[in-house]
Amino acid sequence: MKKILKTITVLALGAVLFACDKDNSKDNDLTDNQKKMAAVVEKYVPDVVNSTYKALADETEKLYKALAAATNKGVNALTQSDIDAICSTFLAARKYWEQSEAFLYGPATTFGIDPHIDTWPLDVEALATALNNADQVTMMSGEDGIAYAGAKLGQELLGFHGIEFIIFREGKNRSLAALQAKEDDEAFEKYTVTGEQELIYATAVAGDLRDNCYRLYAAWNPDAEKVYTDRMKEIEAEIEINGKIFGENMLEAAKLGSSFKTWEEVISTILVGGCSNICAEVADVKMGNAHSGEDINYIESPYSEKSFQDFIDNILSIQYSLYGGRDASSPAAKSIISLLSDLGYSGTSAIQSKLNAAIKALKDCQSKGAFVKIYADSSVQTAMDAVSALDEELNKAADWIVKQ
Amino acid sequence: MNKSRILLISIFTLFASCDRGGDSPSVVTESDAKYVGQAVGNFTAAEWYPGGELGTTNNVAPGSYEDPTPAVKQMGLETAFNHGEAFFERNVTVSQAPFKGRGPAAVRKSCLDCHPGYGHGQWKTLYRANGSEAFGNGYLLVIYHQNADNPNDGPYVSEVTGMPQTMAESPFLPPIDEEQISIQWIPVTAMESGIPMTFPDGEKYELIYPELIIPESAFNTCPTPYETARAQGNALGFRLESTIGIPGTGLIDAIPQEDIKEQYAKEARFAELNPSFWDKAAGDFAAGAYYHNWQAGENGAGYDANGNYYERDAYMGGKLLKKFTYAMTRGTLQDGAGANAIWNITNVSRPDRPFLYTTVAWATAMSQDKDVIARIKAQGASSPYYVDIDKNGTVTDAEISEAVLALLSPKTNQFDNPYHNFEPEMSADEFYDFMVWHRGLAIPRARNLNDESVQKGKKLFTELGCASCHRPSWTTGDDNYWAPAMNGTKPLPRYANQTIWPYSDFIQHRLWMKNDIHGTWCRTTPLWGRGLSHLNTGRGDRLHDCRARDVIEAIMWHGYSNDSDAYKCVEKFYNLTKEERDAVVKFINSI
Repeated sequence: MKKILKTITVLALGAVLFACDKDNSKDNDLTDNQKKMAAVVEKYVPDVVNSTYKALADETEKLYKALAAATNKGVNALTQSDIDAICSTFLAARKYWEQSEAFLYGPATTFGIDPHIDTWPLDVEALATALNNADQVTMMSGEDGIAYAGAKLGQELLGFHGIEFIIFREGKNRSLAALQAKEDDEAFEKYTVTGEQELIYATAVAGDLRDNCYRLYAAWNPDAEKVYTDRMKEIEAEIEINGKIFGENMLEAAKLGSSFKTWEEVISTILVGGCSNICAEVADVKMGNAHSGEDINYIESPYSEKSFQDFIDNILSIQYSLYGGRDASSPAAKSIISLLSDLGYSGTSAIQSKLNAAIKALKDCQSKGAFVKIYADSSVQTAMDAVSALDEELNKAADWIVKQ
Repeated sequence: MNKSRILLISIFTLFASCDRGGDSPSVVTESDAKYVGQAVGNFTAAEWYPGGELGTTNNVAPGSYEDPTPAVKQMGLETAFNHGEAFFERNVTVSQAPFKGRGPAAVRKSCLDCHPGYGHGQWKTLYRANGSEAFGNGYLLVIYHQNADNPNDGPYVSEVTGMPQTMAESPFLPPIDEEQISIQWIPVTAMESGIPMTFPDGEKYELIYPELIIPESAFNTCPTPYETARAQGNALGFRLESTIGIPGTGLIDAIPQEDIKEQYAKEARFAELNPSFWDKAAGDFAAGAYYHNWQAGENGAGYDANGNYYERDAYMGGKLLKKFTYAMTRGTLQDGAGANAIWNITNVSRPDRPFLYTTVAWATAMSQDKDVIARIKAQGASSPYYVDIDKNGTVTDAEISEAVLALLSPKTNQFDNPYHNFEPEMSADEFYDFMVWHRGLAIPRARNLNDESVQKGKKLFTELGCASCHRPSWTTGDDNYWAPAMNGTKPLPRYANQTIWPYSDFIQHRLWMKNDIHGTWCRTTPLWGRGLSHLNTGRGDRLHDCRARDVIEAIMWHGYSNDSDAYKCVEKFYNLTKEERDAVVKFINSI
């Protein structure tokens, strides 16, 4: 999020260089370094961003279908295996979302998708009121329920954490017995809310989640398959920013019409606007607010108790961005790390060691228990420091590369 | 030639600038990387840092509006800043910690909805506070009784709050049903001033303005504003006002009042200034220029940055100049738009804000609504409005009605009343962190000052006369700011002796636009950092109701009327060549 004196970094960003002549810049107008940067981005967009968003879109579609099937089957006919399968699908989708948080710039921010699908805390009292309202539950039912949820429920009842509340409690998959009984959360005390109503809500929210993840994919990838773009047309969701698909805009950097005036600007956006931002968010806000005692209630994923996994996936999102591929465990030939190395940046190995150290520190925390239980542990401060150290290296690298 | 030298030269010679249409001769420009912090052309070295050394972030990537100032780090306030940020970014819920207490009526549930990416609100075709369409919708409704001589002016209605609410928590109805509000965007077919809508070189521009309509049936108040207007024999006026970007606002708080007074005196020689603010005959501020804390007693008291205590209105001898908001209603950031918005936009109480932001007309309507009473009755003792006033063991509809009227009234102390005593929903410490964050937001550094067309744009900006009101630079004083007594002497980010470049005179002017801003007078909006709006928020809409969708439209609206304070500037701008116009735009987007 924030970077103090992010030195001349991004700078060149502003930097710059305005695209050229009437015919746009041609590849042979570029310096060798810029051609290398372009090659890195040409791999980054499809292999990191589009690949992650497609996996996210597909996994949220599975989640929606699984919840819709459970709703149709009826809560009393469900088995624990049904619930467990839904939970597994949720966690898979959640993983891809967290692994996308190193590229929240662009559509996720411009269209407000990040707060739409990942706001916490869930407003449990408002949820209790909503589910106690028969008319509102009816509006959430069926296919039309998705549109109703998306437009009317508001961010505090939408997204991952609303679904998480229905299918997880106290770090475990919700038990069949609990789902089939009257909701016993304190906020629901004065109401009689059943698992049937909860599943209707979760299904509508999952449909809205799926639509928003489709939108992320379609808004980045100009070649998104018809199934995604057709759905965007159906729900009349805008996918262009200033008349362009964002990934296309990025790949057309340094050409007339692109918002990215230089390839240096693109690399800095990835490093600073993307990777550094999520570092600061994880260290200073997601972990920092609870650990510092400023607010011990400020804990993401409290029902599944998967906060540390969220944080690890956030840092993996940085790793994949730097290494040039989703799930990449080492730098691809066309990756930011390889580019830095190729250009002779002396801090390349430091980035990798800080990256590994951050992930290790978070795994150390995870081995001690859920964040909601150990937020005050000294290992959390160690992890925060490790993530901040990575942040510092990322900014140094960004500062360096734009001056090359 | 070594490799790095080849690269350097290549970068500098690579790109050529393109204008909007891409049909004018290209101009080779260089990257600004090498020049940041250096004097270039007609820019001084300091102009790269619009917030000065203590208030500028060098980050100009997406998210740059969110950065803390160097002062935050120097003063060791990062933890408070990070926590305060959360109150801005997250949704305020009804009762779920940590951001709880929304309602019972509210304007919005989240600051971020109105300030997307921390920036200006976005151009919209709907007014929405509820649901997902609220994101980016930074509009506030303005509802007033129109004066006979100027339909833009007149007193606010009293039946709804000054910033009208369209949200309410169960069992209440919102003061205004937003589903019934409509916004029509109407194209301008001809400028009242006569300036053609095609530039001499043939390039066209388009202007649109909003017509806001709120029917009587949308109001859940007793009486409705329409009923009052009919009784008074006047008409209701409706306007939209958008939020503005928030980065750098702490620095504005640090500008010395005496320097602003000099600016008033200087401008008063050439232009008519708002007589409520400037007494031309006396050559001094008018009584209306001074801010008076609206809260009585200790809630209006405060400390300055040096730790001196002041009773209400004693700070600066009761002569603190107003310099925040379009209407210039606030004198200090610490009792300014944000400090109040975190209370009244969401209706979240705190120790120094024990009253609700509501109206008697809404409280009356709710107390008389049979469905509301029935729903409270059904909730029984779990509802704070279910009160056995006469202590006879039963609760009647009349008692519920009385409790609703009292507890929803803006005059009732929510923490100390005979019906139900609520607890403060935001703590003093949480508010302190929020203010550290608010005062600690940096302004991003300038871009492309080495670009010749940007330098040309600066020259033209001055020659056209734009800089007369969009004053480029100020120097802060010792920044001995005022802050509420509730937080004692806990420090806030401080910006002493900084040269800053906000591009505003912090004085109101009149543009006389079609369906102009309510009150007609409008503070000159600071231009700093606005060029990064697209990057941070996805849009770059400008002016008080987002009617200008780009810089050209914003400039041309300044010349809609011959009576506009900026008419002559726009007339000159109109007659520039396309290359010159583009240079002005590029300059504005670079500062």
